[in-house]
Amino acid sequence: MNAVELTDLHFRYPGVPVFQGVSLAIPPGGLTQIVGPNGGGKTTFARLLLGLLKANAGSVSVLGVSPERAQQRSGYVPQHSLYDPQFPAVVGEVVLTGRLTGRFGLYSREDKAAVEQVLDDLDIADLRKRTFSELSGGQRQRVLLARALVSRPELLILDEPTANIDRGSARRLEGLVATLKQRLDVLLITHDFDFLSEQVDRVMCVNRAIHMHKRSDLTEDDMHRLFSGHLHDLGVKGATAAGSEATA
Amino acid sequence: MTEFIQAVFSTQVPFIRFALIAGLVSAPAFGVVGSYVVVNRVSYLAGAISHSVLGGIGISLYLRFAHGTEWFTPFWGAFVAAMISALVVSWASSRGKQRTDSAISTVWALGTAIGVIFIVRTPTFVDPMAYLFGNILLLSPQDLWGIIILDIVIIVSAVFLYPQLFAVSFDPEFATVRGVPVQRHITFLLLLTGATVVLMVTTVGIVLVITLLTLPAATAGYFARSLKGLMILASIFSALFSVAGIAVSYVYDLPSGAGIVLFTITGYILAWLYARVQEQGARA
Repeated sequence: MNAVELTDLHFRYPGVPVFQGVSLAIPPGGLTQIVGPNGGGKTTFARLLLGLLKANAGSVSVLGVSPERAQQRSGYVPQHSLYDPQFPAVVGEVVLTGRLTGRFGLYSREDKAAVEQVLDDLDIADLRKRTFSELSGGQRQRVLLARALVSRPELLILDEPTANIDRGSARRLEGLVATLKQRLDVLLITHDFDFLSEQVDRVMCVNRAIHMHKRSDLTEDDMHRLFSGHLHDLGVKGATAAGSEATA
Repeated sequence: MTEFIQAVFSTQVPFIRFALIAGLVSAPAFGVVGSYVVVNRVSYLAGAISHSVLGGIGISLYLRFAHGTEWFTPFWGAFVAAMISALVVSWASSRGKQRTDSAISTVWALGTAIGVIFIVRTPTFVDPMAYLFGNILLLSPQDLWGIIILDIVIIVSAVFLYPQLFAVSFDPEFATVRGVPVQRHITFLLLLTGATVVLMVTTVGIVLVITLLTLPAATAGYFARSLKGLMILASIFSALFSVAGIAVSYVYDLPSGAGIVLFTITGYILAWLYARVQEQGARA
C-alpha cells in the first residue's frame, strides 16, 4: 500500500488553479522531502492529504483510503508561529488534543498516560505544566510534534519545522525525525536545505506540477538548484522561480 | 453599605435578593462562556447576539399587553431571540469574513429595531431604558428559576465539551484533522453565548451585558496560565463585580447595569496596571 496516491488530481482556489491533472505515488516507508517555491502548492498539497481541502476532480488516497478516513492515522505538525501568543494553554493540554477523535466525552486515563509517554519519549516531560506561549520556537515545535505523535500515527506531515527555530533545536529535531522515519511514513515540507539532508529518501518538487525524484538520482548540484527554485534546470515542466501566492 | 445588607435580608425588598442570586448564580456561566468568547476573539459576535435580544423582549411585551400572553415573559422572549441570532451569526461566520461582517451588523441593528417598534406599539408605557441598562425591579421569581435552570445547562454542557471546545479554540485546523466537527462546535459556543447573555440581561441590560461577559475573562487573562484557570478566575471576578455593582446601584439608586459595568471596568484597569508594574519589575 502506497503512503499517498494521487490520480489525475485537479485543485483550484477561486480563480487560481493549483493542480491540473497530477498523478503520483509515494511508496511506503522513509522520508519524503517536499520542496518548491512559495505559492507552488506545497502546503495546499499537505492540506489535501489531511482532508482540510477537497480535490475538485480526481482522487487522493492516503494510506489506502480517503484523506478523511485517514485523518485518525495521520499526524500533522503545522508551523509553530501561527498560534495566538495570548492563548492560555498548558503544554500537557495542547498535547492531549492529539488524542481527540470524532467522539464526545472527556479524556480517558489512557489518553493522559499516552501524553506522559510521548513527552518522555521526546524528552520534554519537564515542559508539561508550562504555558505554550512562553516556550522557545524549538520547544514549541517539539510540543507540536508530541501532539501529532500521541495518537500513534502511521503518516507524519511536518510543515516547515525549522522555520523560526535556532540551530541547536533544528539539530535535535533532526535526530527525532531520523528515528521516526524508521517506523512511519514522513512527509517533510521544508525550505531548509541542510535539514535532514542525509536522511532524505526522495524529493518531491511541487510547483503546480509535482515531480518525484529518488534522492539517490540527484546530485548535490541538483539539490541546490531545487532549493534555489530553478526547477526547470531539472526538466520540470511549468516551473518558475517564484509563483504567485496560491494559498488565498 | 449597612443599608444594602439590611435590604438583602429584609422581606420588604425581595428584588435585591433576586438580583444578588441572579448575579452569583450566573457568574460561573459568565466566567466559562466569557473565557471561550475571549480566547476565540468573538466579542463582536456576542455583541450582535446581545443587542438582538431587544427584539425578543419587545415582541414578548407586545404579546403580553396586547394579547394577554402571560407565559411568554421578556426573559423567554430574549432567550428565543438570542438563539435565533446565534444561529444566524454562526451560519454567517462560516461563509467568509465579508459576509460575517455584514450579517453581524444586520443582526445587531435588526434586533434592536424590532424591539423598539414593538415596545412603541405595546399598549402601555414601557421604559426601554430598563431593558437597555438593566433594572433589577423587573426580575421575577419565575425569571430567577429560568436563570438557575439555564445556568446549569450552560455549565454542564460547557464542561462536558471542554476537550473539544479547547481544541477548536486553540487550533481549529488541527481539531478538524482529529475529526472534531469545528463549525458545529462554534455554533454551539455561540448558542451558549446567547443563553449566557440572557441570564443577566434583566439585571445588567442589553447594552452592557457584553462587558460582563468579556471583561472578567479579559481581566483574568492577566493572571491565568491555563484555560481552566482563566474560567475559574473569570467566574470569581464576575461574581465580585456583580455583587459590588448591585450594592452600589441600590445604595445610590442607579441602574444596576451601570453600577456593575463600572466595577467591571475598574477591575480590568487595575489588573492591567498590575500587569504593567509586574512587567516593569521583571525588566528592572
